[in-house]
Order: sequence, then C-alpha cells, then structure tokens
Amino acid sequence: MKCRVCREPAIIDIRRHNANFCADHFLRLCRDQTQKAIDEFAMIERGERCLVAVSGGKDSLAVWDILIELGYEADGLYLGLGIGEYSDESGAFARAFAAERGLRLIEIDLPTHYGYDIPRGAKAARRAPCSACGLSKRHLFDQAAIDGGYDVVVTGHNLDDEAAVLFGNVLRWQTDYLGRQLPVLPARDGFPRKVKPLVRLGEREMAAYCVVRGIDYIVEECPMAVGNKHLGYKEALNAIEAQSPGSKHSFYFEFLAKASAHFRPEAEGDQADLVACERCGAPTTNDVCAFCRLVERAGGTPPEAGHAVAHADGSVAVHLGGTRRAPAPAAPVELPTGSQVGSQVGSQVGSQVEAEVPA
Amino acid sequence: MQLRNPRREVEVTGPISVSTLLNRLEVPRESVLVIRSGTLVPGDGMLDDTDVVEIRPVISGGGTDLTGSYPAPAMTRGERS
Repeated sequence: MKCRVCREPAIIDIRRHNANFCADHFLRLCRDQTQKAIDEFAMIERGERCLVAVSGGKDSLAVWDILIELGYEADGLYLGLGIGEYSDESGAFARAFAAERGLRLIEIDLPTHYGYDIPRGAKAARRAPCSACGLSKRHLFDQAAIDGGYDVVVTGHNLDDEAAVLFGNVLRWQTDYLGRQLPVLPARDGFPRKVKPLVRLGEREMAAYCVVRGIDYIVEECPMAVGNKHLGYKEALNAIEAQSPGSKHSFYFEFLAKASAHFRPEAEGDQADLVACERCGAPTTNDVCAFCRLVERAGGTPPEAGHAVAHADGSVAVHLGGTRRAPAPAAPVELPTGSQVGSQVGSQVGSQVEAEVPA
Repeated sequence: MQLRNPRREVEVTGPISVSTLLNRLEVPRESVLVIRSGTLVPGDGMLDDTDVVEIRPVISGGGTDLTGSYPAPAMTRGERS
C-alpha cells in the first residue's frame, strides 16, 4: 500500500476515503478533518478557552492533542468515577499525558469530593451505571466550565459515536433527542457551549492517531459499559460499513443536512420550563436537579464551593459546589435551523436539557 | 500474538498477511489495529513467525454523551437534570 499523497509506504487504509496514508500524511488528515469540523460548525473561535473532557481514553486524549497542535488554548478536566482499577488506570493515563506536554489538567474525584462512586450511585439511584455516569459527567463538566470561565467544553465524540447514538435514537424514534443531536450546542444561561470536533473522524482513526503520536491511553473498556446497547449499535453499523464503506459518514452527515431540522421544534419544547435547582443553581425541570438527587440518594455530600488544590505536577484538583449561576426562568428560544447550525454559536439559542444515557 | 478485550494470546504460523490473519481469526478489520513494535501494520503488511503483534480493538463505548443522547426507555421527564 502506498500513501495517496506522497507514494511512500502507507501505515493505514481508510476505506471510506478509498485511500491509504503514511504516518505524516495521516496525522495531517486528522488535523485537517478536525479543523474542517471546527470551521464548518463554528465550534471554537481563535483565542477562546477550551475545557476538554478527558477520560484517559483514545478519543479525549487525541482531541486534546489535536487542539493543541492546531494552536487552540485547551485545558483538560478528568473526572474520577471511582470504578476500581479502571479509574486508577484511566486517571494515570490522563495525568501522564498532561504532565509530558506541560498541559493543565483539572481533576474532580467523585469519591473524594462528592462522597459517592458510580457503582454505588447507580445502585442507590436505581439507574444503569452508564446513566449515573453520564449524569455526573454532564453536570460536573458544565459546572467546571462555567466556574472556570471557559468558553467551550470539548468532547472526544467521533463519527462512530455519533452514528451509533443516531442509530439508537432512530430505532426508537426518539424525536426529541434527534432534534438535539448536533455537533455543537450553543451556550445559554447555566450551560456552556459544547462541541465535538472529531465528528469527521472514525474510531479506528483516533486509535491509530494515538499509536502514531505515541499517546498511551487506556485500551480496556470500562467494566460498567461492557455489553451495553451503544456497543451493539456500533457493531451493527460496522457490519454495514464493511459492506458499504462510507455508510456511517453518510448516515450522520446526511441526517444533519436533511433531517435534523425537522426534529428541532420538539427539542425546543423541552427547554420551556427550566428553573434553577434550589441547591446548586443548575438549570433543571424540577426543584432539585437530577445530579443533586443522585448525590443525595448515594449518600454523598456536595463540598464547599470553589476550593481548589494544586498538584505537584501542575495539575489542579477542584472541589465544586453551589457556585453555578442560576438561570432566570427560561423563555422558549429558537434553535438554529439546519443551515444555521454552527452559525449561532455563542448566542443564547439552543436547548441543552440533557438526555439520559442507557447502559 | 496478543489480543485484547478480553486479553489472550494465540500462536499463528507465518509468514502471513495482516488481512489473512484477521480473516482467519474472524476479526472485523475495521474494529482493530494491528501493531508491531509500536508501529501500525497495514492490511497488506506481512507478519513473520518471530513477530510479536498486538491486535488492539478500537471500539469503545460507554456511550456517555455530554451533549445529548438517546434516553433510557423507562425514563420519565422528572428524571432529567
């Protein structure tokens, strides 16, 4: 196999592009595709401060690395979930990545700072572990971004992730969730902007990017996620992709271009009755938000607000509490239409009432 | 060679191409990387008897989506944050 660009020996083939690449041109492809997604959907402006949601896995470390390579200002936030050795190992990978590159890594540890872990929280709240995990992550990443003055939260969701989520939503015609499945969600009171710069890159490419760049990441799957529906959807889509390369890309991007806007009105309805959580101030549809209820049911205790601890390696552990600005009672706002997706980033549009994530 | 998730080791007689190896192991090519001495080996790359190779899965998926995802079927509106 020869590189499509330089004809030197290739190290990877990407069937949906019908092309092979050497190491140098593969890295360039990853950076170019990420920049293209950022520009296409107006995810990040130059000079803005990014907070990358870091898990220690390939996607989050890759997107952090690419953003830095592209010249963006990006810190990381690692959330310790208290899932035994898995959390110990994933945290170690995140810390090593940041330390080797002199990057700032913020850490929040659920057992230490909130008095519960995901296995215990899920059991106490009668939620699937992935549901309790997703709820905790969404709340704490939002809060950390707002407290830290970040302009945008960056996640490592790739094309395979988005296609699988879309597949699951379509299987059940979850039209309210289809209306919110966008590569960028604008900021609004109580919610930071959230973006997914890797949506043009597949899962295999991100793993390959880490290997080529020498990024060590946790390869083992989270023990709580094994056998979940999301993985099953990915396997099903990969079977289709094997027969018809490019199917996942078309499925997702044609949805964004041709179908997404049709589901927006239903998504808009979910934001009409947001109020401030009476405990933490986060936007919620109830008196007390789901995160505060989860902490309470799990026997945890939110700590005092704004207490930060700096690690010797330059990383910072923060204790977050009731510092989040409470939103005014929300009036219905208009979501961007298909052609406007990405063009209204930063304006007060869009809904970020969060969905639950099943196991 | 070493396979992960679950971690196991198998012995395969070489020389053999990566594509043939993966077909023999019934491993979908799109779901793994083949790594030899820290370097990716493409589908037409040849492996010898003495090579120690890792077949690394690339699919991950807690499915935790920070920007919206599909809901748990039994979820009620009151359970949303």
